[in-house]
Amino acid sequence: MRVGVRDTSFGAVMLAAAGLLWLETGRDAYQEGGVLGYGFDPAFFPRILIVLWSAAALLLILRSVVLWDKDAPEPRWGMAGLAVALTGLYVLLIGKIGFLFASMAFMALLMPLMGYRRLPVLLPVAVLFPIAVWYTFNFLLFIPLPTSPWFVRL
Amino acid sequence: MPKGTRRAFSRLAAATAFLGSLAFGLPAHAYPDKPVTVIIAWAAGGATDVVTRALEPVLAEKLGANLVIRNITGAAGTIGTAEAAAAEPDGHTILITPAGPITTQPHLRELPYDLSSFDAVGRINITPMLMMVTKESPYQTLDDIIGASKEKPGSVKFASTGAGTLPHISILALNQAAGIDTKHVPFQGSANVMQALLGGVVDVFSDQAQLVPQYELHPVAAWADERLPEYPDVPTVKEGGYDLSFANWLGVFVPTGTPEDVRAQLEEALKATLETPSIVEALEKMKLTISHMNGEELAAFAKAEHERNGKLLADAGLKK
Amino acid sequence: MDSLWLLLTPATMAAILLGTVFGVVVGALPGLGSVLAITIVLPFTFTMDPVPAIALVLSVYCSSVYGGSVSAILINTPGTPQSAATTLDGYPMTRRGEADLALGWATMASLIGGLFSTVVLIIAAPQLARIALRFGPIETFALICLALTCIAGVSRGSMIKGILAGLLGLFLATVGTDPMTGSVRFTFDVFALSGGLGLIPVLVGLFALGEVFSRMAERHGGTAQIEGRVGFKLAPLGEWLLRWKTLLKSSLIGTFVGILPGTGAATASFIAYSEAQRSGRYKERLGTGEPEGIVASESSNNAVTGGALVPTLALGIPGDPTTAVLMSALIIQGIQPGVRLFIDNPEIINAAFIALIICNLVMFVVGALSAPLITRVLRMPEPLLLGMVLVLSVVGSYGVGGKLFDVLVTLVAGVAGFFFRVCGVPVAPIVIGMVLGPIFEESLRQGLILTDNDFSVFFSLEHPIALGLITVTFLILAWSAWTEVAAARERRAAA
Repeated sequence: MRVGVRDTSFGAVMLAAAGLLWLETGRDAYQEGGVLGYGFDPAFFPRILIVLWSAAALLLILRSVVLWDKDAPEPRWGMAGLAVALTGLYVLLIGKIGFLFASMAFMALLMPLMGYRRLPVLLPVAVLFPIAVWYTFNFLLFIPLPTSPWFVRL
Repeated sequence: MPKGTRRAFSRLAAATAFLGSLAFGLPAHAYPDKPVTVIIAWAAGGATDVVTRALEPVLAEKLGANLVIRNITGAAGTIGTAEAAAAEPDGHTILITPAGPITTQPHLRELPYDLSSFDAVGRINITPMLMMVTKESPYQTLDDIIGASKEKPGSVKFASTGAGTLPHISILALNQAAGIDTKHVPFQGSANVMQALLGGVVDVFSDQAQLVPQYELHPVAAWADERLPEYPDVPTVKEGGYDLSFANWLGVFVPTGTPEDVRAQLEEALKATLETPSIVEALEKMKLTISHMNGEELAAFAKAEHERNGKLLADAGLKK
Repeated sequence: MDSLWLLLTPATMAAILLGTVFGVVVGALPGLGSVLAITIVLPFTFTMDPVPAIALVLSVYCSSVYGGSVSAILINTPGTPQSAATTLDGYPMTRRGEADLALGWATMASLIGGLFSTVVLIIAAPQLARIALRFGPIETFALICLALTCIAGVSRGSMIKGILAGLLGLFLATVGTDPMTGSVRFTFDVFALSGGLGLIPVLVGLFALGEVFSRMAERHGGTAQIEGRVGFKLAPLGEWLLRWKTLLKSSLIGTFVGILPGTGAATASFIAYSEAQRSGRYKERLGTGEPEGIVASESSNNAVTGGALVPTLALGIPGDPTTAVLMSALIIQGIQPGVRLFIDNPEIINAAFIALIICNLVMFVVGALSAPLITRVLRMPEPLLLGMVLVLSVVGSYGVGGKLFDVLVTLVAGVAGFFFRVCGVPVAPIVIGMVLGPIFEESLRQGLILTDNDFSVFFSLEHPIALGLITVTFLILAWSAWTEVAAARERRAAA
């Protein structure tokens, strides 16, 4: 991957985001500061940030032209996508089947994905570690974790 | 410490015993048949949280169930309150809340709940607000403040703990009743206000009375119908000619639709808790006077507050 | 001396020891920080006597600030925002196989910073507290401007991207309820967003999840095992003496930032770190695993503990959420912090001071003894470790606010953190922006209300402190712009 391509696209994405957020600050809800009688409306501060942000993004794009041909390391996109998807599924599952079961399933799937396949180690860790965390949070830190629909507390 | 350790151990023991008794979801028997979740819409360690954690062991005992406190924070208490409103109305989720999230916030913006989303269980305490200034302040009486504001509008700087909070609403009410114009500076929390007040950045603040001795302030007036027993020399705002009263309170609520008998059980447990000597003493240490109301009384009281605040906010142009 | 006897009871000693172990563990867990740690022990203090109760809370406070550095060094995930700057040099040392040494530096620096600020607290609390009162919104605004310059410091070599990241952080802090008007911003009709984006969920996502994702996506298989020593090793005294200036300066910065309202340990560690980059003996090695960076970050964030107690105890005004919880623990004990405390309860205050010294010493011992155990996680196969880090991160970001939505925020921040790493954007400035953003906007707008929208008053002789701070800010900015340009020119000349 070329540094120029990378930085230009990053700068462009940031610039586009800044534009969209600027549009959002134009809505009526952001102009209601007047009712307090004093001071500026809610859009005041974010707009300053958005302007500076756009300027920095533009500078980045300009500079990337200079450094266009340098090489940057490219990640394995597929692997990254898989990791993100699996973690996303995990978060979703926590809401559905509770922390404990979701974590067990997640660990049992994630570790082989990263190239660790020694089942005699992997499976006990995938079972015992979530139990330890769950017990610590619920009973030592008094922070109740999301539960499954089947049990009272796990 | 020995008592503390014992308590820590007994909690641990209870927790372990509970782990042993984990059972499949049983068909509904008598209430309560599982731990009761108490939702606090504020960060752990805040005023509401501290009171709840003090009540917890006794309330759990009186109710005959484990209590699980969940701090669901954010957006002036509305996020946790919304979560409580959406909970199953079976008495296994209760909300302990100050006035703000249920009597003022619903007027300020679109929320997934309103006061009508809750049934009242009981009030824990009520603390009238005091208007306070520093001892060196040029404004030592209500007349000083109003006189200066009339002479030069905006010259007196009032602090609040944010838009739509009781301190803010009290400013709006006074502005309207006295026909004056004051400058309002919002802060995050009363500690920041104290910093600004003692540093001379702002002039006047209205909030819970205990701040006065704590920061050696001068009480100007009480936002109450009658003089406060702790401050017999401090006139009320009503004596000053404006019929305004504001107070902080904590109440217990359940989602609307909770069965009558479950509510009655909760009401009983709360009442018994608030009559327990150790609880009375614990709250006294926090400078809170218990002032219990049953569900019916609290429902009427909260409704009146809700309407009054709605009107004040509407008159100030702040209503959604 | 009576105070000493109040402390030397088995109950108090047990409270300090247990509190310290607990604080280190909670501080080290990603997401869970000092506030939560103190809150968890709060109910236990209800039934305790005042002195052991205070000792317990103080020990949890100090050790949780220190605990954050352990995970920052070992797994590149700051356990608390306060230790975010520690990752910059701590983790590179771990990758070089020097985790034992890095922990030694961090633990010793924490101890010295903590003791330094305790001494300041003991000697001059009531006098120094008055300085805090001179900081109104306008002075605070100027202070935050100065603090924001450390974005330039931590993003050396990629200045534009660092500034962009800092602005993004400032912007993320505006999401949710506007502190001044109460109206909601940038929520796009998602109700859960009206509470804003939590600092902790974003921090955990950017650092922990981002790190795991990008390690999984590394070209060379990703399972490169770190072959490092386990244990705990203190650097020789000579090494310390070479860095004494940074140690002293950072302790001073931490104490001072702690005393002032509105900021906290995270800000202090970033300011101290960028000061070390400006003036440290090994400034050009900072960011590559130079102990001086760890010293700066860790001595300053622990120095905040004593500093933050100055206004908390002497005025009853807690400067940050952590000391606010701490203060409620005191109030529950019937001890009212404030101007009268030093006069009315000198024995309690003295006991608290001595307890604080003992807490710092116990913290060092616990850190040194637990390091050989904790560093063993590095011997674990990487997939196992990363799996555990992910689970802990998710549960940690849930635990702070009790909302599944926060976990979602962590996930999104993790994906963003991955892309930032790919694009060579430093993530530390985002944290700086998010930490300083709310107080920055609030103080600016409060100041404008007070001055009737006249921004020029901010820079006038009416506010000499603010004027001084703003001047220093400009000098630092000019200096960093100059060095960045000079460095670029040098690079080009070399190429």
